[in-house]
Amino acid sequence: MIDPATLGLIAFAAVLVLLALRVPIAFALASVATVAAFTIFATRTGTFMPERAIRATASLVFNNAFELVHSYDLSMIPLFVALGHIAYRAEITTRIYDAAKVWLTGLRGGVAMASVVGCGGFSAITGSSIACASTMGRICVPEMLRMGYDPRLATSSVAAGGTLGSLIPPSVLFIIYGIFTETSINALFMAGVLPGLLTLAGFVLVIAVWTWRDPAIAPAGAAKVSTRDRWRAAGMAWPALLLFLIIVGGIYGGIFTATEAAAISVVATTIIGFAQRRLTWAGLWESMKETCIQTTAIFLIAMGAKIFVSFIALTGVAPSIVEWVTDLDPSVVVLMLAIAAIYLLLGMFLDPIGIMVLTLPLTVPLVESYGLNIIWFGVVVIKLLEIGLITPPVGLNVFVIAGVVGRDAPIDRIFAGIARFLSVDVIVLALIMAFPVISLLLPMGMR
Amino acid sequence: MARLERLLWALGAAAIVALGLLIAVNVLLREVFASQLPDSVVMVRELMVAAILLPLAAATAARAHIAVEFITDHLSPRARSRLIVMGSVVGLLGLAPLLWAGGRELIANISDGAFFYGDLNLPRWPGRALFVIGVGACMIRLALLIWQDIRTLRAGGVVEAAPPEKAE
Repeated sequence: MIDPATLGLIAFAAVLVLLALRVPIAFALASVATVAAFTIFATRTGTFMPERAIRATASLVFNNAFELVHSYDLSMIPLFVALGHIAYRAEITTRIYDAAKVWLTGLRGGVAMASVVGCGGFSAITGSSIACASTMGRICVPEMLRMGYDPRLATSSVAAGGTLGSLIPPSVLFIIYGIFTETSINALFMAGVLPGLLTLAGFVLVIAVWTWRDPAIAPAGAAKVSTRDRWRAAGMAWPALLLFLIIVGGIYGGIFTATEAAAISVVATTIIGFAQRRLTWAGLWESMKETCIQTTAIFLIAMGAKIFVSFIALTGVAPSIVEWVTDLDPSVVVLMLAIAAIYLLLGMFLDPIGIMVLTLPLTVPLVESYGLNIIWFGVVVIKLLEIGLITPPVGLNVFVIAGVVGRDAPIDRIFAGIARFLSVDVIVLALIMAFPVISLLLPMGMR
Repeated sequence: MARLERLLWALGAAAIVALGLLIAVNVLLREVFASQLPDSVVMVRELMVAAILLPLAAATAARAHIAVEFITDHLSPRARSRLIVMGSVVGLLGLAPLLWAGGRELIANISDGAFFYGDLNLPRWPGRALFVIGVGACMIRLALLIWQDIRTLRAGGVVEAAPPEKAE
C-alpha cells in the first residue's frame, strides 16, 4: 500500500508533468486528484476495495466542485468581471487615463505616467491584471508610439502598470486567495490598497527618473493646460471615482460586503453608462457574454483546485512538510525569502492562478505554523505573482502588450524596459515584507 | 450543438444579470425599508451554478481554458496540436466523475424531495440539474473537439490554441 503522503507528492509531480504538457490547469488538477483520491479510498483498509472507493471519491469530487460554484460570496467574481467589461464599454475606465493625461501633459514622459495612473484607476474597477494590460495597452501604447515615445518606455509602462490590477481592489487573485485560505476577502481587499498605491507611485517615479536621465526616450511636455481644463478633465472621471468609493468606501465603512459592493457597482455603472448614452443594450449583452467565458475559465480552475486541495488534506502531506521545515528550524526571514524565491521562480513559467492553487495548500500551513498573519502573507503572495506577470521568459502581461502592439515593439525590447519597473517591485515587496503595517493598517481600521 | 451552446451561454449571462439585480435590490430593501427578499441567498447560489456552469461548453469551444504554454511553445505546431488533443482527453476523463456524481446527486435530490430550509422552501434539484447540464454539455463539446482536432491532424493541419487575453 502506498503511503498517503508519498501519494500526495506523486500527485504534485503528476500535475506538474501534465501542466508542462499543456493540459489545461483545471483538467490536470481534477483528473489527478480524482485518481489519487480513489487510490487512497480503495487501499485504506490494506486491501483493494474499489466499490467503496467509487462512492467516496464521487462524494469528494462532487461536494467540493458543487459547493464552490453554489456560493453566495463568490458571486462577486462574475460581478466584478462584469463591472470591468461594462465600465470599459461605458468609457468609464478610459476617462481616468484621459484625466491623468491632461494633468500630466506638461511633464516629459507625462503620457507614460498617465498610462500608469490610468492602469491604477482601471484596476480599481476591474480586478484583472491581464484585462487591464490588454485594454490599456490598446489605448495608451499606440498613442505613445505615435507621439514619439521610445517603444521600451511606451510598452513597459503599460505592462508594469497592468499588474496593479492584482493588488488594488477588487482583485480576482485576492478573491481566490480568500477562498483557499478561508480569509476575509473584505480584509484582503483593504490590505491591498496601500501596497497597490505604493507600487503605482513607484512606477510613476521610475518614469520621471528615466525620462530625466535619458530625455530622448520621451518627447518634451506639451503646452500647459489651464487649471480650468484640468478640473474639467478630472470632473469627467467622476464615475470612476464613484465606483472606487462604492467598492473601497463601502467595504471599509462596513456598509456593504464585497459581494454587495460588486452588485451595487454593476448596477451603478450600467445606469451611468445608459444615462451618459455611452452604453447600449447590445454592448451590455456582449459584456455579460464576455463575463461568462472569463468567469467560467476562472471557476473551472478553482473547482479543480478545490478537489485537489481536499485530496491533499487526505494525504497529510502538508503537515509532513510543515514538520520537515520545523525540524530544519529556519528563521522567519529565511523562510519568507525561500517562499519568495519559489514564487518568483514559478512566476517565470506558470500563470498566477495556477501558482496559487498549487502552492497555497503547502505554504499557508507553513506560514501559519510560524504565527505569521495570513492577510499580510496574502499581500506578499499577490505582490510576488504581480512580479511574475512581467518577468521573463513567460511574463503574461508582456506577451499581452506584445500581442496588442505587434511589430512596433518586439518582446525583447519590452523586457528591456521592464527591468526598471521590476526594481521598484522588488523594493515595494521588501517594504511589504519588512513592515506588515503597510498591508494591515487599513484592515485593522475596518468596521 | 453550437445552437445549444449559444442558448446555455445566453442563459448563463442572464443568470449573472439576475443575481446582480437580486443582490442590489436586497441591499436597497435592507438599507431603505429594513426588509429583504425571501430566500435571496439561496436564489443567488442557485443562479451562480447557472452563471458558471452553463457557459462551460461555450468556453470549451472557444478554447478558453487556461493552460501553461511556455514549454510547448518551443515544440513544432504538429506536436503542440497533439498535446492540445491530449489536454482535451484528460479533460474528458477529469469531468466524467463529476458528471456521474452530479447525476447521482440529482436523482437522490428528486426522489427525496430535498429542499432548502427557508421562507420559500425552495427545492434543491434545480441547482444539481444545472450542474449536470453544464458539465454534460462541456463533455459533449470536448468529445467533438477531440474528434475535429484528430481529423485536422490527420489531414496534416494544426490545432490553434486560444489567445493569451482569454486567461485570468
